[in-house]
Amino acid sequence: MNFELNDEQCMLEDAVAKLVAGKLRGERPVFAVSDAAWQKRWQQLAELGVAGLLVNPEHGGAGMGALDAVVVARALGRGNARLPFAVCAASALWLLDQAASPAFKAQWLAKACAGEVLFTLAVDDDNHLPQPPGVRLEGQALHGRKSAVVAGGLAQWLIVPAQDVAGATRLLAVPADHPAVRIWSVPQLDGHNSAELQLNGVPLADVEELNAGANPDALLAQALDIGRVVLCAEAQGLMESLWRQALDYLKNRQQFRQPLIQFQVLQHRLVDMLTAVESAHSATLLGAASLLHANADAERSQQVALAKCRIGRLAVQVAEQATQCFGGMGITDEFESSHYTRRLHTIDMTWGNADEQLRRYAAQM
Amino acid sequence: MELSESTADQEFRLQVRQFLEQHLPDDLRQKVMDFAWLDKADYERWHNLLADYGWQGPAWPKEYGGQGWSALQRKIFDEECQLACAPRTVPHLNMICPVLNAFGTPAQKQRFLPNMFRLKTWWCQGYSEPGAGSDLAALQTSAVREGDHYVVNGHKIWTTWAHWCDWMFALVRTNREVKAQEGISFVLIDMRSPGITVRPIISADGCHDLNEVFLDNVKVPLDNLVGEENKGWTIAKFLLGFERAEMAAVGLCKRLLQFCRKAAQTHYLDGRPLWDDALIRHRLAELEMRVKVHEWTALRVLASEASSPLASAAPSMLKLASSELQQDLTRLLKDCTGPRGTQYLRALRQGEAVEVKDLRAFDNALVANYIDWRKVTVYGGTTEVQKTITAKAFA
Repeated sequence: MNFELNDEQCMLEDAVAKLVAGKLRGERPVFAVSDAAWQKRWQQLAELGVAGLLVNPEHGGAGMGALDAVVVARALGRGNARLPFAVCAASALWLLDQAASPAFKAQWLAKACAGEVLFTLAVDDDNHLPQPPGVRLEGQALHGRKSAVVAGGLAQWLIVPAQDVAGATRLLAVPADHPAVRIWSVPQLDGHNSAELQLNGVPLADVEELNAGANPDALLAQALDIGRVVLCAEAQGLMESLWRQALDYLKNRQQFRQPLIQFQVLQHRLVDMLTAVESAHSATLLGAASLLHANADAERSQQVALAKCRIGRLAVQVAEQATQCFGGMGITDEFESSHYTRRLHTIDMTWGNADEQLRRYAAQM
Repeated sequence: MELSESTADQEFRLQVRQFLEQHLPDDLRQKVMDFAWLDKADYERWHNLLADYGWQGPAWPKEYGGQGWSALQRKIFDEECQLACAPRTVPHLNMICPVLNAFGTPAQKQRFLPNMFRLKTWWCQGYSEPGAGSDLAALQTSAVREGDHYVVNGHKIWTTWAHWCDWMFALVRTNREVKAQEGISFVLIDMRSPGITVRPIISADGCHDLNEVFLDNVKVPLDNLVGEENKGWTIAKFLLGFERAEMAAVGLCKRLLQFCRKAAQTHYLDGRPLWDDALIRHRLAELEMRVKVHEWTALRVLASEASSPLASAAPSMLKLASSELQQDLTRLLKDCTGPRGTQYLRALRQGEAVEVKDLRAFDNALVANYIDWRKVTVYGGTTEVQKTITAKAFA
């Protein structure tokens, strides 16, 4: 086994890190970043060629793999770029590349890779309601709701799974500006964009149906698992940085006439956090390995659940302990580290939090 | 990155598995499966089986008479042995053997090494003292030169298997005038020397592994000094870094996990296996996930260069993670027992036939074993000491 990055991956990591430290340096206050600014930031990322990282080169992509996406996401996390790379680039564009018609790909995929058009996946139901509404395909039109759509207020296209009357899953790319589409744009906890989506009878003729083959559920599950692993990598990068920020803070902050780092109780807290950060690294890699080497969908699914469950637990642990290290500063909007903790919590809650992944894992034991 | 086992390593794994299927005796396997207490003869039998197959010193480099396996191969070997419920190899050999090879004289090597692996001689470790636990450098057992020997006086404690041992490798104070760490020497003491008294310490599970060793004017020939006088601390530190990977005990964690599954499947709650109980299932799932992640951290350490930033703190961090996991796993085993968890028959754990209604040896061991397992965050450097060592890398 070998865990070293190759030369190409090192260059990729450097390029993303430079962009994140420069043009993508965090804007603040967190909730004041405009939609236009988020769009511009996405384009700047796309200019590096990473939006289409997993897309075939003939459609404008880089034709790279899951490990490369892990490298990119980790670098985005280290500087907390807060961009929906996992959902909109890794998952959504991979899915389009797999299943969209040649004509649709020719028209849209290169533009998406260039950052001119944003696609997202609208997969979550508001499942805290007694009866999650979901999206149905009835009478040749789409009806229903999807919730917590990442970047749903910014995207031009939303890929929506819908149940047809036969109970089968159909995957449909819906244009956001269709008159029968209603979108409520809502900020995420970390300042990025989310949305509630309602489809009020969008005619099938006005949407692009993906050719998802014999088992659309399996294809969608794979797309989501790719996104989950990439989210894990971003969280790993965030945790690495947050740990370093806590260390620096404790070295600089003086109380009782000495730097706080002199206190053994705080040194031990940092060791606990470092152990968690290293575990996050391992969890990410084992998730990535399952995307590459799993013998079957079920095995991949369980290993990704494992990775994201652990990442969720570790993210909450590191975020809470870091916040404690920062004292009162840790809960202010102004203090940059609180942007990291909020992003970590957002990642845990995206596409299944740690408890949900635990149920998924345990059900397969 | 290459995130899967190579074909060669997979073949090696199969070879180990085949060896275990063919050569590990059923009765020995059953003892380990039952969490039974192992006797001296059990370890000797296992070491000889390994040596007969040509696998002496699995963890040792080739130049030390071992197999010269890669770190990953050693991990695979250990994991397969654990999962097959083989006894562990005696850990003291992996301490004294590398020390003699690195610091011993040719005469010492010739005298001690050949008898080591087949356990013709048993070795114990004389480090801790009543006043020197976490603060090991505070040790007071003294060695004073008189002619061609040292006269050793003092009191060692927590000496595992001293009552079985022929030799002790010990840290003794040879100079009181200098800084604590600079006045310590590493000597080999014949346990049959006049003046040695071994007093048993019975553990909370009723078994006898630990001892106190009293040394009263014990004569130790100067030939039994290893390395230079007053350089014993260097040797002790050399040992600490010797087995980075073994600290992780991934194989052991996997075996405990296997036992947790077995306990959950064979214990019932209101007529249904605990395996089907959501609470137990989720606790087990969470542990299984943690073990897997721990394994990947160990694999990353195995593959990393010794000079990487991770490497210096790695042994401590792996020990921290592993000991915590082992304790959580053994806690789940305890919690699988019902009201009969309060009952414990030491004799059954030690292999004697005992007749009690519906009592399985495995179940009998679970709670006592849980209590005994609390030692892993204490021995080999407490959790607190390991954290302080780790913090030195950044604080």
